[in-house]
Amino acid sequence: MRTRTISRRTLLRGLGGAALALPFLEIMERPGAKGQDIASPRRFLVWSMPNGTVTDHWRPRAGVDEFDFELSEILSPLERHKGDLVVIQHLMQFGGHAHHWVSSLTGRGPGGGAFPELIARGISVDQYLAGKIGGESSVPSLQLGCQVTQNRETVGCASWAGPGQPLPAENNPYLVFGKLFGDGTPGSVDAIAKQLARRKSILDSVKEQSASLSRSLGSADQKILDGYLSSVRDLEVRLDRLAQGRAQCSTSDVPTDPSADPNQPVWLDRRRVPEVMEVFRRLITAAFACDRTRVITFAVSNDGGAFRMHEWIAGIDHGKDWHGHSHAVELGDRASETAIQKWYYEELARLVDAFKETPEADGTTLLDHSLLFVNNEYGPNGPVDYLAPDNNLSHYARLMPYSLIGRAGGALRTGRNLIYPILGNPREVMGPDHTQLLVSILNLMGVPDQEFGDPEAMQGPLPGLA
Amino acid sequence: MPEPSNTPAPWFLGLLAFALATSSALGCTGQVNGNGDRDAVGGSGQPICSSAVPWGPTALRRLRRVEYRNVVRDLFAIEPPAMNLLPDDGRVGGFTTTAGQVLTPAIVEKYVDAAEAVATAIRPKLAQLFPCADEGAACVERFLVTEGERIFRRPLTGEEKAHYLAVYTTARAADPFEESALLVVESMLVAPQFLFHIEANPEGPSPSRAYALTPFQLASRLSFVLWQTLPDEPLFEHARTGALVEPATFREEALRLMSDARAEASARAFFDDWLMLDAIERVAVDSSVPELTEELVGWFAEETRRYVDHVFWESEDSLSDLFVSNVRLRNRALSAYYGDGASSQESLSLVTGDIDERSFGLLSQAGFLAAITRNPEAGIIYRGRFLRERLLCGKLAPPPPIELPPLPSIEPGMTGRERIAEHTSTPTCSGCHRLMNDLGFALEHFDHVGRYREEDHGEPIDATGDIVDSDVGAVDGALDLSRKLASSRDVRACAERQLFRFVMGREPTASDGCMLEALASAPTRNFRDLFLLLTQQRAFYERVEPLE
Repeated sequence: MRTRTISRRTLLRGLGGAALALPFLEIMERPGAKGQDIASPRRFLVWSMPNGTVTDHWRPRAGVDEFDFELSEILSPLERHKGDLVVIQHLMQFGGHAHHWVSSLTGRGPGGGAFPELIARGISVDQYLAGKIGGESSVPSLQLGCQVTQNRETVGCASWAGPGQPLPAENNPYLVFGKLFGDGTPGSVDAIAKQLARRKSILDSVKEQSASLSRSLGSADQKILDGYLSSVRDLEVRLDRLAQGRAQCSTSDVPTDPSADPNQPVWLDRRRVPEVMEVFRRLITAAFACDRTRVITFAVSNDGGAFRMHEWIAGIDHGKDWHGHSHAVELGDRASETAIQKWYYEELARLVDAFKETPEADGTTLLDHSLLFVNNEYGPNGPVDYLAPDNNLSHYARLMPYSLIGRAGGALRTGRNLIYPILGNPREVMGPDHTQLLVSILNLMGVPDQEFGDPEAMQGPLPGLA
Repeated sequence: MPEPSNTPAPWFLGLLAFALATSSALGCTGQVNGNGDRDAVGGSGQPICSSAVPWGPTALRRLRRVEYRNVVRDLFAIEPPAMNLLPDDGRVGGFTTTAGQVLTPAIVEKYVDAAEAVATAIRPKLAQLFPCADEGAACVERFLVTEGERIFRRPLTGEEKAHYLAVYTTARAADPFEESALLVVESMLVAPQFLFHIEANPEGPSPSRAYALTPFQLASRLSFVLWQTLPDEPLFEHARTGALVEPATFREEALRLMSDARAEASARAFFDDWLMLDAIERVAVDSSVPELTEELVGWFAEETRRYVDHVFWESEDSLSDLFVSNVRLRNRALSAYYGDGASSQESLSLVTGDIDERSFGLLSQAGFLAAITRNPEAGIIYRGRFLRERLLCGKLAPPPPIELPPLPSIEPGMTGRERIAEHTSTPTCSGCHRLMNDLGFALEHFDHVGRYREEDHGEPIDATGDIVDSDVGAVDGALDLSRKLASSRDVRACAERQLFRFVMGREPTASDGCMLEALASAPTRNFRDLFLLLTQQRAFYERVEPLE
């Protein structure tokens, strides 16, 4: 088990004036482990957005080379992080279509029936990665979402354990905070230990009952029950590891759920999205900082941005949901969708702020050891002036608005704007397949595989990225 | 496809006589036929089944969320954990099911959390569950016999009782009686005997061969299908005595459950899943339609729910009335929206009115239309796809991943119909879209929030369509479509499959021809009766295990 020690002076210096925005991390020193400074592990976060973007307002203005660029209006909130950003233009999402994340992280076309009952036909890159690097943190991965209430096991799901095996997003950040950090009070150690012991005895009982029941079942039923049994065992391991993790690193800054009615919780109230996003921001940062996990996927809304009305964004029609605004682009209203996109990139910028303000053992920051992948359902809305002014490219999974943020422990050179070539027929605006980016992501995270997703897609790492 | 004989056999006369018909007449006759599927009908009108596999297998599945909540509420008389705390249900063909879902540690943890929440809610009334706390283990033993039978939906075995007594005793060494007793309850609520619908063959595994469910298993099947919850005491008693497996008792219990108010939950669940009615409540208010308030959306949901309730319980021909009926739900708010002056009351009530282009049945109900439209720009496609899949049981493939040429620009003056037609006209698209678009076109007189209109973008509405790959054919407008849906054999056959899916909790397979034929040749067209009919089939009270 790795030890991470960090002097409190470094910790306090790192926090500086941003203490209010961050969890105060207490990283306890383990006896006998002094002086063992181990390199920080790499962390991977997917930030999944729906509805594509207004491509002409998203793409940076290119200069003489990849290091020379100006951020667009939509990307402008990332100005303070420009040096940590890699914009990747013109990739095509292999197998993708409008309104699903089923292909985004799996690199395969969808299976299942008609929309929305599409399912993934393979494992997603975050889960593949979690299988490789997730065994050392408390939990292998987390799937989080801000009010992902529809199509949770189909097109609204980005993380897949395998073909047809969705891992739906958890919408309740308070619940996850509690699981990972308790209620934040130091005196709760005994209570936590007691609760753990109680849960383990429940799980022991369940294991015994499952095993004995299984003997009387036919093999098909047994298989299902065995799946239950192995999940119970995995949960036990997870609970133990969380207990150990808590003993090594914790935070007292745990928010409490302000919901008055559990059937209508705050974290499902679309008018309180900004507040909920803030809690997720704190959760993601703390979870990485204390090595609760190294792989997180976060969906900012439902697929298609359904039901998201953005009442807090001034100057747009609050009677249309996000999906409606993305379509309004086709009819000439670019300003509203641009304003919405910009809001989410500001949220992303604030998450990056938090990562930068979280120190690691060697004086670097959490961001230095992270790789954030900005993912999307598809690419453009409406025509794309600089490439296809006469065509309506809505719903096309090309010209994907991808970017990466963070240095992945030094593996990625950042501060770049990469414009990949259009391949084949220029009218069809097809660039390289995004499977190459998925391969590169694996490589950047220390997994040397050369293929990911559909073998028919373009494979090998994305040239010129790393 | 060949139609079963429409002449009811003599024993079909009357609803009660039908419901009491013996399984040997309705179930598989066991005659072998070459291809053994539902096309094969004997000369007497009796369905013929394949003898290879008597009917489709039932996979092991967990309680669905609605079942979990109802069971916890009925077991302990407490407010159950919120729906959003429980693991997601999966869906197959729109119907919620846990079959086929993969289990994860996150799911198990949700059950552990829920059990803890239940224990917390039970604590104040622990004395009711354990009225003999001063007797310690003996009290727990009594609990395991009386309450344990309800929790596991069958009596605990000797080993199970010993196991849970040991859970209690071990805990009791360190903790007070309350904690220890609650630990027993929590452990049971995460046990597979509670969470899963266990229907093991009492004689041992027998893949692909049918076996009779035990009385307790049968009681559970009946109560979960008809009430979405565990059996009540009289039903449990029939299970204890074994009387439930006698045909007369079983029929009477089915009728009793169906006549109980608790059956309304199942009718609701059926329509919610089949027709996506829970989406009505989430219709977003649209600032361009000031009369569409959240309160009105609530009325829309109530309107359609009570309409389908009426169709389910009271219609002679439920399917026909679903589409075309002079009965509707109105109050002042709805009358204002529909502009029909049918009611000035605050509360909703059933009224009769003219059947016309604006008001005729399900496809003229504003909330339902808004829910299946999703958004104005692609509403035609969403409506069309929904109707093709849910009413015609059409199978549509995922959109192709191959490369599509870019779409033409949107001309500002195009009607919705023109835009969609152009958008989907290329050969790669039209293969599937020809199955969807026309169903949407037929509804074009209703805008995205269900208001009737004569024009779109200044042009008169063209609501004609050709509903290909079905017996519906050419239609003009939603009323015409609805009349043709009401008399369509394809739609009727599809509705029967939907009934099957819900009652049997699984997809019909090629071996289920008998069941589907029983529905098709039933002398009743009322959904409540068809539910009952399904429960009386052998495939309901006998199980085939899946092979693997």
